[in-house]
Amino acid sequence: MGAWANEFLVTETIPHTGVSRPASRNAAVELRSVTKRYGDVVALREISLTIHEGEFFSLLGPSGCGKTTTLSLIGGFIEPDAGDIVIQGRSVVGIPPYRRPVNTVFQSYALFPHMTVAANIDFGLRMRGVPEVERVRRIDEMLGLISLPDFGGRRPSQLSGGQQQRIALARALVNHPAVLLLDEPLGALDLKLRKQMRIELARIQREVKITFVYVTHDQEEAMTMSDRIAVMNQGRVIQIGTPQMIYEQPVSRFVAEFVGANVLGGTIEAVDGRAGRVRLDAGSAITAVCPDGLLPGDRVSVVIRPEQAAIAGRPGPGVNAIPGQVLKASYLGTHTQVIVRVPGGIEMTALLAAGGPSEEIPAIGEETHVVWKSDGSLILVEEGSA
Amino acid sequence: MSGEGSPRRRRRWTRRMPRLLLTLYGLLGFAFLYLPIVVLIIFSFNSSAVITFPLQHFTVSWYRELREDFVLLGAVRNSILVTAVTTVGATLVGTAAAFPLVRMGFRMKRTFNLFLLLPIVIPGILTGIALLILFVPVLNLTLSLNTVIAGQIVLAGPFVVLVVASRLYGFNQQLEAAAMDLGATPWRTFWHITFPLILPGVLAGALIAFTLTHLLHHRPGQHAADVHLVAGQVRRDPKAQRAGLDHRRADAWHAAHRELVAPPARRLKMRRAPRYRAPAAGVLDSLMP
Repeated sequence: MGAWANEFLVTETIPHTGVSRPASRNAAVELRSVTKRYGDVVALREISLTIHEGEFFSLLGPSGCGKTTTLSLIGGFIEPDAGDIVIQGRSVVGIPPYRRPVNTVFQSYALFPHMTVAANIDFGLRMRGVPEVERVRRIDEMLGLISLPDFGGRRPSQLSGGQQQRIALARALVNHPAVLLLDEPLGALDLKLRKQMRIELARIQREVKITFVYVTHDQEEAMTMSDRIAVMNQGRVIQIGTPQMIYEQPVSRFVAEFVGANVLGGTIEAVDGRAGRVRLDAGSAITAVCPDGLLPGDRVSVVIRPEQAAIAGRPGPGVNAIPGQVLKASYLGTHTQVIVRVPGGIEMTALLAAGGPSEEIPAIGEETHVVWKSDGSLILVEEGSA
Repeated sequence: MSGEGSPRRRRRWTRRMPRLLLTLYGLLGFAFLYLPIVVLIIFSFNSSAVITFPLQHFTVSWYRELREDFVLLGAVRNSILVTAVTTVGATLVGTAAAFPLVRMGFRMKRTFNLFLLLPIVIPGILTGIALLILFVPVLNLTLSLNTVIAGQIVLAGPFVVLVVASRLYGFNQQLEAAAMDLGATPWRTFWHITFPLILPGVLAGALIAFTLTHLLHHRPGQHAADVHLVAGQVRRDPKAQRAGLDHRRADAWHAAHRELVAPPARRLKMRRAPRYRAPAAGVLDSLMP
């Protein structure tokens, strides 16, 4: 994990040099400075990323960030305006979807309604001219893999959403693609089923060892399943890294907010070695670990993850504290989630572990403080828009 | 019956009543639609030349006459030919036209749509006159069954477009993307996915085209247009044949020919309602070759 850090942190915009680097040996998919426009709207701005063989890779971002466009580009349903897309060392720009070694699981499943489950799974094999004996064997194998062994003769309309989802997965996987593309495949399922399917998908991916490229706007989904995540916003890749890196070291305010951290704006007051003193826009002054090169007067974002924040009526010395009013407190079993409105109208979330120091659930409307240790927050240089 | 049996029976009756009424209602509906035709069939075996009740003697002589009536048989043949070719042609043209109308975005699409569907609302006679003007003075074609078929396709095609387009609007295009993703070329995608799924629409369109082609002969306007579109041939029919028809047979002729693409000049001449003829036929006659 750690070894990847340097390689993948620097990603945001690599200017298009026109020089084609050779694809690294274990890259399943490479995007090189890919740009895609729809009329005047730029959907993707010089995206570059490398997806390794056998990896569970997620494209995470809000709707309209370009993640589905990226997937469609790899699948061949749209063509880039600039840049190169390389699958297994071969450029696929200009190659239609039916000649690419990739398969897709669509958000709506797109099962063929006029065919049985078996015929659906068989379709790709038939189109590629796989011999019949082999086809029958592989269909059975797939139905077993998705734990629906006796469903071959049914029609898609006779299946539940979760079952249809698994058939769609089997229909794609049966072709042994170099890369499997998944476009928010769990989006249409209810929460409980979605959680089950996350585990199921991760299991299947480990079993078949096929590269998965997974598009989602759900950070929890991406976190629980992925080996690596690319966080996207406004047609750019903001950060690529393991779930842990994305969560613990977000590179921008956007990433921090997207993974659910509290972000407060402020200005550097003083820098003392690694410790920086920040005057928050909300009024309070706090200390936090400060990256190099910051000077007093610089605008920054302070990131506090919910589980690092706590609630205290009278904060002790040596901790950061912001006064506020409890808006909502929800008991979640292992945790209690407290939402506090602090000056400036910002709502901060604190996750209190059950059995932790502040065991009592605060009452709604109570005046309190959100507190955290000075090494429990992160200072980010505030950039223009991202 | 016993005391306990009767409430159950009553309950069963209340449950059955609506069903029975519905069945009765359905049967009455069918009777209303088909009884006239049944009566016609019954009277075709009646020996009397005029339709009167009670029936006189049983006879098949009318059918014997029919078999020898080559003009009428020819009309039947023409009718089948026109309907078959028109159905196939209108279905092909209509289906092909529905795709770009639904799938593609282009300038003036709404206007184009409107123009495509215009033949549905324009009275048949106007389309007929327009076609006649196009065929004869402009394109210099000889009027024949071919021109009838072309005219019928113009009239039936838009209906096919409507039906197929509605099917295409409801079509999930992601299915086509999925097929291509699974290795199907565009052509195979069409045959394996698109076509089977829009087939009900195409068949419905074909049925409508078939029915319309048959039915349109009832419409006076269309009638006149048809008549004149094949008139070139028909004018040459010997008048003698027509003179040989007695009044009763003329009636039968009239009825039969309304159903069919008969050698139509005859049909027009025998029409009792001159109002159809007056303005339109005058214009048309002047265009006759």
